This record gives sequence, structure tokens and C-alpha cells, in this order.
Amino acid sequence: MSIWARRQILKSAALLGGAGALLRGTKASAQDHSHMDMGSMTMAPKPAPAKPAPMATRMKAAAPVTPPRPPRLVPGTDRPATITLNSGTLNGGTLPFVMKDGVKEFHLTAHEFEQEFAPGFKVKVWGYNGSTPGPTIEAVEGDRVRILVTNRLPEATSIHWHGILLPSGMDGVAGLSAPPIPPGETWAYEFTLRQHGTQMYHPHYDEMVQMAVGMMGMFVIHPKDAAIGPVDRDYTMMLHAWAIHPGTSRPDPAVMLEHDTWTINGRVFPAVEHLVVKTGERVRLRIGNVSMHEHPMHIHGHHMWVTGTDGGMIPEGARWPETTIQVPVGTTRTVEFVADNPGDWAFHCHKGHHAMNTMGHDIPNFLGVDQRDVARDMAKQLPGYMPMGEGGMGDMGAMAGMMPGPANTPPMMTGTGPYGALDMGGMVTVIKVRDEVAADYRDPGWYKAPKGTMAWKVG
Amino acid sequence: MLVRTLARVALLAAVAGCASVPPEAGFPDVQRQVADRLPPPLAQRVAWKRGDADDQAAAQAVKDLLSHPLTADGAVQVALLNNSGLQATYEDLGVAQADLVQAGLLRNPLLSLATEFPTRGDGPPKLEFSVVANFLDLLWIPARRRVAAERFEQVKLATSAQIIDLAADTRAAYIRHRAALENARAQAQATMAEQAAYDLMGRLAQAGNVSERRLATEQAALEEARVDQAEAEGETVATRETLARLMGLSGDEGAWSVDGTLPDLPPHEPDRAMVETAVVTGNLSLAASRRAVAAKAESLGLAGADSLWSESALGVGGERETDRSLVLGPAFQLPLPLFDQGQPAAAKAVAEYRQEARRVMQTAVDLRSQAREAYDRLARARDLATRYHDTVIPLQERLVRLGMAEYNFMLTSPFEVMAARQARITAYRRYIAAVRDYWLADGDLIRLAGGRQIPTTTQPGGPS
Repeated sequence: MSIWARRQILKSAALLGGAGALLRGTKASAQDHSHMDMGSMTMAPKPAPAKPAPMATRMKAAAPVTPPRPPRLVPGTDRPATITLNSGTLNGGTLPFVMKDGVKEFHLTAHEFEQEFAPGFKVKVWGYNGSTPGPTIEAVEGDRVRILVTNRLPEATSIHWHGILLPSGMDGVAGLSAPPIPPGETWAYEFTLRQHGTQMYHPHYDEMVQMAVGMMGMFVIHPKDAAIGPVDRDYTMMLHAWAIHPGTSRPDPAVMLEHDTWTINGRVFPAVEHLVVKTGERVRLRIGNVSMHEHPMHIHGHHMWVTGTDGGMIPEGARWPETTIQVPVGTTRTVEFVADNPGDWAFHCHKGHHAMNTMGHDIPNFLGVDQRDVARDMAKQLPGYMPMGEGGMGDMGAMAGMMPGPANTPPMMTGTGPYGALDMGGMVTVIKVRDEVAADYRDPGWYKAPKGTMAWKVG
Repeated sequence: MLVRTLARVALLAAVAGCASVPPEAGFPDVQRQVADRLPPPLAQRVAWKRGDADDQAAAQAVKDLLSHPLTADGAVQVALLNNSGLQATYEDLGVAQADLVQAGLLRNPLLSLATEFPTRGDGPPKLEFSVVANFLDLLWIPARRRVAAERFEQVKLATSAQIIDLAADTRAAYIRHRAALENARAQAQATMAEQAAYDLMGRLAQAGNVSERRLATEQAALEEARVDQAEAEGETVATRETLARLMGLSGDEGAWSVDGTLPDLPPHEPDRAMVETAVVTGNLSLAASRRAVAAKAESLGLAGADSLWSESALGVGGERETDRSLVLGPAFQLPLPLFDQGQPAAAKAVAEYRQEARRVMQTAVDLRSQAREAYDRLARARDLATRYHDTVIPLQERLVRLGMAEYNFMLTSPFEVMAARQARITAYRRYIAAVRDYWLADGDLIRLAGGRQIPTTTQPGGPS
């Protein structure tokens, strides 16, 4: 087991388990750490949904925790051992399970906590097991799964298993499929996975509010036949839109369209992890979206094929190539490409304002406004006044950090690359394709363009 | 025999009556009275201009004071030395002093002569003559003198009260003028801020980025600021002229200016419990009114008798008959109390006495109430000034900083931040008004207490 895997375990343990479980988790066996989950070994091995001990003590540790941001993406040795594909959830993890009489039992706890969307940008969110989106549930077609859901929210909740074919009573629509889960209670959902593909989970009780503040997660079902669609790298990401008004720290659920913060797996660029890929590898991206906006996700340097939706795989002959894949609201898109073009490639939402951070909507348009001498008079009244946006907003990236901004608000553009400010934020990451990558797929640093392959100054 | 006696009495009365009027007319008493009621450097500088060498010294002192920016104390000093209205008031002292002298004098004896010519024959005319004096005056003189002395004391007190009032008026005018200057300065800042915002909007309009309407809206705000500034500047002139009048400046001393900024609030408030006592004991108008009551009381015993007997006279009369024989004899004149037995005059005096006494009581009630009101204004002004100084202005400054932080991240418009800046200037102007009101209330309290400082509490802001 790699260091990374241990980190993931430690993280899970810190979130869900006690110190004893944590110690056991140091054993180098995937099966072992599936047992460490919250001491449910003490429960009677009945096929009926296990009722775990009251979680108050566990949650005390869990509630305030911001999951440590993994330093890099390493394929998931933290996955259950039955799954052999390399996959990973950017900035996140896969939910551990325990086997109980042939049933894979998962445990999600819904609660409020603080997550750092970027260093210093702390957001009070609701999520599962200390992260938003919640940990990715991974299982295999044919598995019987039981998901225990503990509600530590101030209101009822439920989980709808988006796109999963299951009995009506397990569908999680509060009031329609089953009663909602009141605060403090733990309920079980149990069903057999009759499909494979990329699905999601999210509340279906007060879903406008609960999704606006972060309640969602991905549910990946691997095909029973490992020969179906094998890939070398398998990434999962969830897109989301938030209304975190400047200077605040809690998403405003009443905002319907004027969102200002755009995340991939609950992070804004440049805090979103890079995707490290070895030249020639086949890469799958599973992209989910339950935000109120569509996101046209654009890849640089490659063409990608749309291979699936949350309705399942697209037959080979019906797949089509794209450089921008529209991910509509309330669905998933799965795309694949062969990383045959070494370099650092942006992967981002093509809506301009989704590729940046918070910006005011009611500011004057300063484009083309010459205010040299006026700025002097303004500065006499407003210390530190500098003209802004006269020639565009491109300089905002470089200015980030030079001038004080509101508390808990990321600059609208930030990030620095090998050639200067990146002038981006929000729903952006970088795919790093290299001929050589380390065994643990650690970040290889910035790409050095071979001589004669980079734009040059002419005049 | 009788003639000789009467003559002696008359002479005695004339000597006792102090026929000469002292020129200082009680002014040293007034100076003593106000000595501890004006701030120490001023106490010596009350002068009555009577065309002597001291006038030169006073004029020079005024000139010196005006050659430097005036402090509040300096302005008061100029007023005390230079206000002609106050000088006119001093003449009341002369009037009262003369009355007092008058009260000690006997009424002059009356000489009457009558000649009767015979209608037949050419005999010498018959001569009738008499010299009578109101001998009963001798009995009333001490009482009249007491009345006049009370009246004199009353005028001295009233004069002192005028001095204290002028000092208070001048101090208040000074405070108003200083506040007006500060307010105009702040308003000029507000206009500059509005001008910068308008210029910026003008550039946006030039670039085609804002509408004519938006620019015109900004221009309207600028014009409003300019109007406000003009009003504020007018107020500085009006307050300056008020101060100039009180200082008795006729215009050729036009170059004078005032010094510094409004003084900060003192650490302690006058003790609320002491305020009314200080006013009732210290107020000079009230003291003068009390003297008036005393004077009325003195005249009470006088009134009936005076009206009854004032026509009495004693003297000597004689006739030279036509046969040139002379007859001499005492003359005596006495009103017969048949109709007026003196009661109406006595009743009038009693009524006037009661009236004066009631007025004193009303004055005391008024003064106490005014003192409470002034104290309340004082406490409220401190509360307001403190709130602006400690809370509102720092808050508005923080709003500007926070607004700039948002502007830096392109989250808010600089015009919004400028609005916060304007709010900060407005808060400062209100602070100035509160400090002004504090000092005005403080001045009113001191004026009510006859110029004396009221002892302060040990707690800032006083007991609440």
C-alpha cells in the first residue's frame, strides 16, 4: 500500500473512526481497512441493515474537519480490492465499505462542516463524511449494497440514487418513496446493482437548499466484466455552482442563477488537482453535474469521445468526438481520450465567468476609460484607489494578492504558471501529459516545451 | 429760636446727605463680584472707559489680542473691554449712585413770598412770607437711604450679570464660529469627493460606457454638494459677524481671525447633583431680584407714611403789615387724613412687594428648569459626540476600507465606496455639531451659575 493510500485511510479514520480503528488501519491490507469502518464489527452479523451505535462521539470528531487536501492524485489503491482499474476522485476519496453476509455496507453521514475551496477560502457546507461532494461510492455491477445514512443535519434529508435502477421504495424521494430521515436518525438503503456506469447521489428532501450547500456525490458502478471498456486512468469529478457572496462563508441557497463560485469537486482553481497522465494512456473522465447551470467542459490538445451518460454506455458506433462536452444539469457525462499529446493542457468550463472566481455584477464598465488624473483625485478621497479594468481585466490575475480584498474571498483570477499569471479561477484544472511519470503519479511540475514548439515574440 | 433750630437741622441734613457723588460709582464692587466668575486671566480686565489713561491701556490690550488668532478667552476679553453696550450698562451704576446720594438729602426748604397792595390810599404793600421745610423727611431719610442702597446693590448685581452674559454670549459666538469654519472645511471635502466622482463618471461617459442620465445624476449630486458648501460658507460669515458685534469691532479691525479647532470634550461633566444648587446660589440676576425684594421690603413701612405725611412742613412765616409792623410766627402744614389715610399707598407697596417676591420665585423655578435642560443638552451632546467619535466615524472609515477591498477585487463600484466616504464626512460634520452643542450647553450652564464653573464629577459623562 502506498503512502497515499494510507493517507486516505487516515483521513477516513479521522472522519469516521476512533483511535483504535486508526491504528488497525495501518495494516497494509485493503480488506483490513474496509473493516476499520466505524467499529461496525461489533454489530450482529444479521442480513438486516445494521443499526450502528449512536454516532455522537464519532461526529464530534467529524464535524469541524476539513479533509486534508491530497497533495496529488494517485490512482485509487484506496478502492475496494475487487476493482482493479485505476481511478480516483479529484481532491476526494472513495467511500470504504464492510462486507456483511455478502452485502457491501457503506455508511454516509450527512452533516455540516467547513471546507477549504482554496487556501484561505473556507466555506460552511453540508456534505457527507466531511467532504462535498461526498466520497465516491464505488461498487461492481451485481453487488448488493447497503448504504446507511446518518442524518446530522438540522433538518430531515434523504438520498436519491440518481440514475440507479432500484426498487421504488429505495429511490429516496422523501414522501414519495419513503419517509425522510429525521435529524439524528440513521436509515438504510439496500439494493442490488443491475447496471454499470456513472451515477450520482443527492438528497431528495429540500433539495434546492441541500444541493445548494453541497449535498451530492458520485456513484460509480464498474462492469462485472472487467474487459468492458478498460482504461488506464479513471477520474471522477463533480461540477458545482455556489452563491458565496463576497466576504461571506456560507452558500446562499436562495440564489437561483447568479452564482459566483464554480468548483470541480468542491475546489476552485488553482486548488483543483491536476490530472497526471502518461503519454499513450487511455483516460476516462466521469463528470457529474447537479448545479443549476450547464457546463461545457473543454479539453485542450486532444479530442475526446463521449462514451456514456447516466443512462449507461453509448454503443461504440454511436459515440462522437468532441473538444467540448456539454454536461447538462442533473446528469453525468463520461468521456474518454487517449493522451497522445505531451504537455500541460487546460481542462475547463468554456463559460468565461465559470473559469474565474467571484466578480461583482454591478460594477461600472471601465473598459477604455482613461482616468489617469481623475484617479489621483479619487485616491485623495479613497486611499489606495487604483484605476481598474481600463484595458480589460487581464491584469487582475497579476494583481491578486497585491491589494487587500474582502475576507474569505478568492481573487477573481489567480494562479501562476511557468510563464506568468494564469488569469483563471473556478472550474479549471490542468491535464499533465508526460512521457515519463513517477510510479505514484506525483505532480511532474510544469511542462517544458521542446525547442521550437513554443510561441515566440516576433515584434 | 425756631429759625435757628431749623437752620441747624437743615445744615446737618445737608452734610449728612453726602452731597458729592463718588465718581467710581460702585464699579470696584462690580469688579470684585465678577472676579471669581470669569476665567482667571480675564478677571482683572473689566474696565469702565471714562476717558482716562486706563482707556488707552484697554485699547492697546484689544489691539494686541486682535493681532493674533483669537482664542475663546481672548475673544471674551476683547468683548469685555470693547463692547460699547456693556459700557453703556455701566452708566446705570452712576444713575443708581446718584439716586443713593439723592436719597440722603433733605428736601430743600420752600420760601414763599406774597405781596398785597392796598386798593385805596398809597400805604406800603403788605408782605407775607414764609420758609417751610418738610421736617418729617428727617425721619424718613434713613429709610430712603436704605431703599436706595438696596437699589444700588441691585444695579451692581445687574451690571455684573451683564458682564457675565456678555462673556457667555461671546464664548458661544466663538464656539459657533469655530464650528461653522470646521463644518465648511468638511463640506469642502465633500464637494471635492463629489467632484472626483463626477469627473470619473465623466470619463466613463466619454468612453461610451455610461448613459447621459447616469452622468447627469452624478452632476446633480455635485451641484447639491456645491450648494451645501455655499451655505456652510455663508454660515461662517454670519457667525463671524455675530462675534464681531459682541467684540464691538467696527470693521477697521477686519483682519482678525480665530485660532485652532474646536476644543475636545473635557474628561468630566459637571456634577448633576450640584447643578441646581450652583445656579440658585450663583445666578446674578436672581441675586439682583432678591435685592429688589429687599428694597421693596424696606419701603413697605415708608409707603403709607410717605404718602400721608410727605406734604407736612414746618417753618416760620411772617407778615409785614401795611403799618410796617412785623409779625412772625411758626408755620405749620399738615395734610388732614380725611380722605386718604395712606392705606392705598400702603396696599400698593404691599402688592408690589409680593409681586417682586413672586417674581423671584418664578425666576428661581425658571433657572432651575433651564439648568436641568442645559445639563440634559450637555449630556446628550457628549453622548452624541462620543458615539460619532468612537463608533460612527471609525465605522464609516472601516466601510471605506472594506469597500476598497471589494473594489480591489472588482466586486463593487468605486461610486459605492465613495458614498461611504461621503457618509464618513457627514458623520464628521455631525460630530462637529455635537461638540459645538456640548460647549454651548456648557456655556449656558456656566452663564446660569453666574459665571462660576460647576464642580465636576469624577466619572466621565456624569452619573446616568
